[in-house]
Amino acid sequence: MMSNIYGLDGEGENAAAVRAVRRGLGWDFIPATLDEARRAPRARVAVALRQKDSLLRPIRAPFGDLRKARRVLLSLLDMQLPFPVESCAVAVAELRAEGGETRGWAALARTEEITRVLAAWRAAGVDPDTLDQESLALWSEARRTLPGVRADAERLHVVAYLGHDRITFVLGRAGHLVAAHGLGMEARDQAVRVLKPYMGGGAAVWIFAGPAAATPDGEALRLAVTRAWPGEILPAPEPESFLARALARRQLSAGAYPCNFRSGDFAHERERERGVRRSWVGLAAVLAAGLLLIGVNAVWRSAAARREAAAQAELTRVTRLLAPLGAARGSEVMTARRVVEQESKRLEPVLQAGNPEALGTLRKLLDVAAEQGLIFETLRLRRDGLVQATGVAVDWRRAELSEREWAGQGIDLRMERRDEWADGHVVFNLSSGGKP
Amino acid sequence: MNHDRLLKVGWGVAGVLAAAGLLWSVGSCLDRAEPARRLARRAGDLRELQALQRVAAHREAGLERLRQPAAAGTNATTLAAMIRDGLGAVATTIKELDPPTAPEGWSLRRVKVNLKDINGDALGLLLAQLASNRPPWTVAECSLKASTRPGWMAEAELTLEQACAAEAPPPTQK
Repeated sequence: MMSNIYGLDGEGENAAAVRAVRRGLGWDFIPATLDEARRAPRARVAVALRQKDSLLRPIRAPFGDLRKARRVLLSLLDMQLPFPVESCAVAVAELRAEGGETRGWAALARTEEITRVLAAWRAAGVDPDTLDQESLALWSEARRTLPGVRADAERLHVVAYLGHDRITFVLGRAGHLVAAHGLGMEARDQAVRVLKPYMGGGAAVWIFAGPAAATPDGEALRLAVTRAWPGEILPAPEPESFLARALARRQLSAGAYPCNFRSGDFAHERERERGVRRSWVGLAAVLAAGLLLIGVNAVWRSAAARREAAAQAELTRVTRLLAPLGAARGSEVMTARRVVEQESKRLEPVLQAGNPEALGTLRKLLDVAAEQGLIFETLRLRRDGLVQATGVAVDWRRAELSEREWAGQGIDLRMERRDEWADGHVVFNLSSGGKP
Repeated sequence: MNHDRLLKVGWGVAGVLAAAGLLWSVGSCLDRAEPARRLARRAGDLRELQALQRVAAHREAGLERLRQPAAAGTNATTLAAMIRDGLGAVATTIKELDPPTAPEGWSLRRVKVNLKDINGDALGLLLAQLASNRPPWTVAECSLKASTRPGWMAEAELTLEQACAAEAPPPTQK
């Protein structure tokens, strides 16, 4: 997917090229050629605007609100520029709140310079995806590959990049960028003068890189600056492809001080397409989410409606069994109850005439009386539950026992002791209604 | 340009759909208890109707017994024969009473039977026989007077009722 990633240092056919190759979980950077990058299908190429063709400006604002700082950024930069900021492309490489202030770095390039550089690369057969800024790329590579650059807070670190046509100095301390200067090769004798304001008599750490670092011109420059400010020299691995490697690596992971002038009006066609694709994908996602929500709701509603309709159908069916003419929705129970009650009332005489309950009651009365030795003198029984009787019991205990037995069989009667004979027999009255 | 316009229109449509879906979802969420409430109400109604069905079924079962084709007498003459068969030579008077008003499709009969000097057990057997008749004779009212003979009654006065379906075939005359 990201196998054709190139970093190109220089312009046109003399450019040094590096290709990023996946190696295990990490990446390896191997030498490549411009022609290879030109012919690779869908190659992602990064190049850099030279320091001398662009600007790096510090951002300072007396408040720590980054959002506000972004809003006033162009005004802040405008004051530092000899030309209108509107004529530049601006890339914010760093913006951080620190001690109630906003600090950072912005990279700027005149739009005509960007147009010129892109036209030159296109003429060479390459349409770079990323147009980085040279000093930012150099500094981020130094931070990543040389641990001392970030760890050492005491000494100033200077990345001295020597190209065939230019010299670039990037200065920083404790990993933070301090300044950057670009000179044409013809002005190399100005290097000491340019660096002097930053050195302050302290020791510096030197990192020499670039394709011309090992040339006589490069050696001469090295001697000149290290004689002026002797210090440690950190050896950079493969110094000649240092910048190309930085550019390739920053495509994989932007790291510190990210920058790409190819945005907005200068965006790469592929980036534009990607933007459009992202827009379509976003649109599809929103559309799908909307449809999904509507679909889920529709399914849920229809399932609920189906269940409700099934319940209503069952209700109607059962109602029709009870009330053949049916009932208005919502009054099924009331209607069915009325019909059942009316029918029960209408048939009451028939049901009563067929009700054998009085015979059962009579049998229970006679059975218990025979069992307990009670003799009825008179007994009157009616279907509606009326019982009136008089009789004689052997003794009152038996009479009470009989009363309890009838109660146990569901016949509530009231036994009254009316008289007692000399031999212990008890005359009683029995009536329906249970104990008072 | 066309592409941009298409994208704009697409975003417009998608936005409207998403908003509609969202609003509908919010509405459904707020209203989610209502369908369950309606279902619960219908389930409750169904339970009540089923209870009424049981009442009606119980009533129908009672009526069904009465609808069975008559197997024995349904008039005073046949009743007198049944009493004679059950009790033998007992002084019996049977008087047909005005029956209660019968609903459509049914006929009712009410008689008053007076029995003198009757054995209690024999009376019990007779009543059981009357109850098991098709259609049954049931006791609406009874009045007993004891006899000096143990287990006998000086007099028993019974009001019997009988209901049968009006369309039932005429009973076999005994």
